[in-house]
Amino acid sequence: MIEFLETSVHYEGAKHSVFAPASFTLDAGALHLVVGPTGAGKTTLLGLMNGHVPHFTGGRVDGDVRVRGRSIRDFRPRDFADLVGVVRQNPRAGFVADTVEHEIAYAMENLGFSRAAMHERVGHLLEQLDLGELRLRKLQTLSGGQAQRVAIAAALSASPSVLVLDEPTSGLDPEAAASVVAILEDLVAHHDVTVIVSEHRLERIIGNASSVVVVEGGMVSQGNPQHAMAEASVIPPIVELGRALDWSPLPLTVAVARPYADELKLTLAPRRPLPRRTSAEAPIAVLDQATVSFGASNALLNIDVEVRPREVTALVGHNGAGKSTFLGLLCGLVSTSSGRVLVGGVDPLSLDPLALVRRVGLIPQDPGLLLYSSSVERELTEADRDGGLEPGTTAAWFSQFQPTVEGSRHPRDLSEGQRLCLALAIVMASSPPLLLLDEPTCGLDNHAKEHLGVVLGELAERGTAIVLASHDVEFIATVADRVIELDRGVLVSAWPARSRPTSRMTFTSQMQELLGSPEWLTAKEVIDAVRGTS
Amino acid sequence: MTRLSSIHPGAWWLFGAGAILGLTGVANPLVDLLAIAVLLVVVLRHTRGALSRTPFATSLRIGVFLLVARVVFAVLFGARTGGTVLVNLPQLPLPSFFAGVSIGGPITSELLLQALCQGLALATVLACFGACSTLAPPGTLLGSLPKAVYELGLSVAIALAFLPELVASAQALKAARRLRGRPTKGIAGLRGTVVPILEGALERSVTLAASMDARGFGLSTGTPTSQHLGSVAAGAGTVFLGIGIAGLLNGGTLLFWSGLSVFFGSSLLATAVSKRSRQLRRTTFDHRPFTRRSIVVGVSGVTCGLLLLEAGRLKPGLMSSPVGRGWPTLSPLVVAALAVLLIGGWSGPEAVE
Repeated sequence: MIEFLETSVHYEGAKHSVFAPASFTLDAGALHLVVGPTGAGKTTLLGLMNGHVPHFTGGRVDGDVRVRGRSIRDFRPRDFADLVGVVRQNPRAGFVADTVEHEIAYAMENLGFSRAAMHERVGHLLEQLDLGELRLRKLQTLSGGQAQRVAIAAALSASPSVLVLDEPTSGLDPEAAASVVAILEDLVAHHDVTVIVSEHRLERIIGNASSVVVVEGGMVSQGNPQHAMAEASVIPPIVELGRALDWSPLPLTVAVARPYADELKLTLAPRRPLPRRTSAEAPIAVLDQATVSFGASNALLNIDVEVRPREVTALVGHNGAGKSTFLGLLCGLVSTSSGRVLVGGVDPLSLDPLALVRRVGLIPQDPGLLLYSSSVERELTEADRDGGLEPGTTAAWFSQFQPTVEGSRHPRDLSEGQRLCLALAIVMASSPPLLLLDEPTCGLDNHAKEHLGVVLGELAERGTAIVLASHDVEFIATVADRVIELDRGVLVSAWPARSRPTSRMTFTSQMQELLGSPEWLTAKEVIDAVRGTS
Repeated sequence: MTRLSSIHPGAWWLFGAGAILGLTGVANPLVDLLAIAVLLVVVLRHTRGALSRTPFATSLRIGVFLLVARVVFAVLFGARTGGTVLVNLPQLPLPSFFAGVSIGGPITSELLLQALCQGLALATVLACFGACSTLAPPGTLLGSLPKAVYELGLSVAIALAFLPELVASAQALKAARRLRGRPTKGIAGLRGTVVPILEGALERSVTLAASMDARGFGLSTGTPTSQHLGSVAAGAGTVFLGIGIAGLLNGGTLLFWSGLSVFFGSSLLATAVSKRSRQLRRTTFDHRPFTRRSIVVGVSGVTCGLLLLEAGRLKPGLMSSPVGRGWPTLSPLVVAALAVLLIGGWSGPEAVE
């Protein structure tokens, strides 16, 4: 269906081409997964598949890409509209119309479909993607999962044979992500659509892929999933375990790995993982019957939580469960309708900005919101000045997190992980005893995630209380000492990470799922324990 | 979720345009207040009483703000005419070349009333716009535009949709500044907010453009050369039309040449637009025929406007502010005009679920 013929891309001003000339074929009627670290060129590779690169982005393409015989040399993205549907990162930014049905019809309008055909197709897509009730809804009122489904429906509207998606589940909670993956599976199985997906959280989709394209270190290679996972550096926990224990054939999903589970449980029976941190110190922050209402609805209802130093608390729950509101309360961005919030003994709303940053720091979901300057160096010196700190304080923090970044670079040009570390350095420079992070792993690849886990662990060891809201079950499994689950504004459970009941499958890690016990959280723990016994 | 009535959006804008035609510059507070009341009744009927958060409600709020601003300006800088003095403010001596302008001085009741009437005139026209945008959101007009103008119309619609998003990103930035310990108010708060907001807006427009491109926006059968020719023709047509209209308005000796320029310009423009329309493949999802009820709505607005103009011509001074001449009055023709507006606006079918 899609042929890459000695393809390479050279952007203007860049020293090297994005990747070395690559030749491979993506078969029709299958799901192809594109993996690799951020910045390696995944988005460029996807952009080639409808001529977005080079017609829209500029740059020079050597070799050729052909989609069902159409060459991107002769066809522009709009000429591919009937053949290739595209869903980009952040679907909301690509919405053109104002309501769901008009958004879905948009591509058909441009291609000159008859009105009757459009109405039939829109009705069909609404049903297929379970959007029936949302037909007349305004696009800005949709939740993240709904917006993603509408974007997929809009991309499918002109009945393309190819659907290209760039990290379609990155902002979604596990359940919404699972429904998106199920839709893609259905498209491949029953509607003869060739699906190409890039994804960081491989565990969510690797089981459905029939080929994997790895983009890493300037090279592109394609192979079957088993083969690719045996060598790739970005792998889900179950594959990490399988590789370490020499399981063959290598299982890619928990379901396939089940036959190995019983033996593994026996081996692990006499072992216990290292305990997670518990803290007996006085709480640094207290929510006391805190309720937040927006109009008639409660975003949070009667929440009682104590946050202690030297502890990492993870907030889990579906989109809209109240996680961001929870963080907003702790850093004085949201006020309670009733109840109390105390951070270091005072109400954070009453503090002026300078006093606030000395008590609590927040890294928003887009860390770029905290950055203003034109270079890393200036960002660091300005942060010292803002906080009235000794010159060099922020730079010292940053070099702990990211020792190798040049000071002259523009914050915009950093990788997601580097930008997060820069924001973290700015926040930590004022030494707040409480650190909050909203979806910190959203744009991070596995290496950056691992690094962030280490950094947060060190901060907690040194006495910082950390609260993070996240959908990333595997990341939470790595860093969290305690897990709080929210559901529609109500606190459903608060457990130490290792004793949370695993009955609620949506928020359990792959190891918990495999072993059927909450005790073992990460592949690394299990591997260390097994190696210790042998 | 309600769908607005099945009246053609163009009919509502014709309805509003007619009202604006008749009400522009009308400083008679009785006429203005009656007109606003009529619009209020029509909007209430079609939004089923859900008035708050509609553009009409916003336009009323802005109207009140303009009214107050007008009065404040009159008090501070207004020309000092005679009349009943209410308060005597201290007057700033100004150099002689500021003739006609004064700062401070005696405030008369006439001055205040005059300002109130003029402010009300402005608020009334604004309310007409608000009513139109509520009854037929500008986006819905898009489908009825000629294909070639659609592209232009879409860019306007998207620009309008960006405004609320800009406000949202400004709020996010303000929150972020607070989290960095920076001032959130005043000039210092403003500096460093504008650039990131504009950068964000630019980034979003690029994403949006890519999304439209991938979904076949602007797909046409024309060759690049014929498309370029079309753009040049449209541009030249607009220039000729502009020059011609300016010449006509100016009167004077070049009447013939101005007329010729208008004719030539508009023909060129019309040809370019229709040629481009034929090249585009575009169809529209919505089917909104210009029904009989739509005609009633549109005609009622235009009739009301014409009647109001006629009423003003028949009785000079009726439509200007009555300050210094006693109470404001109405004429039967004015009442008839507003009744036509009310009946026309009411006649559209109610909003349906």
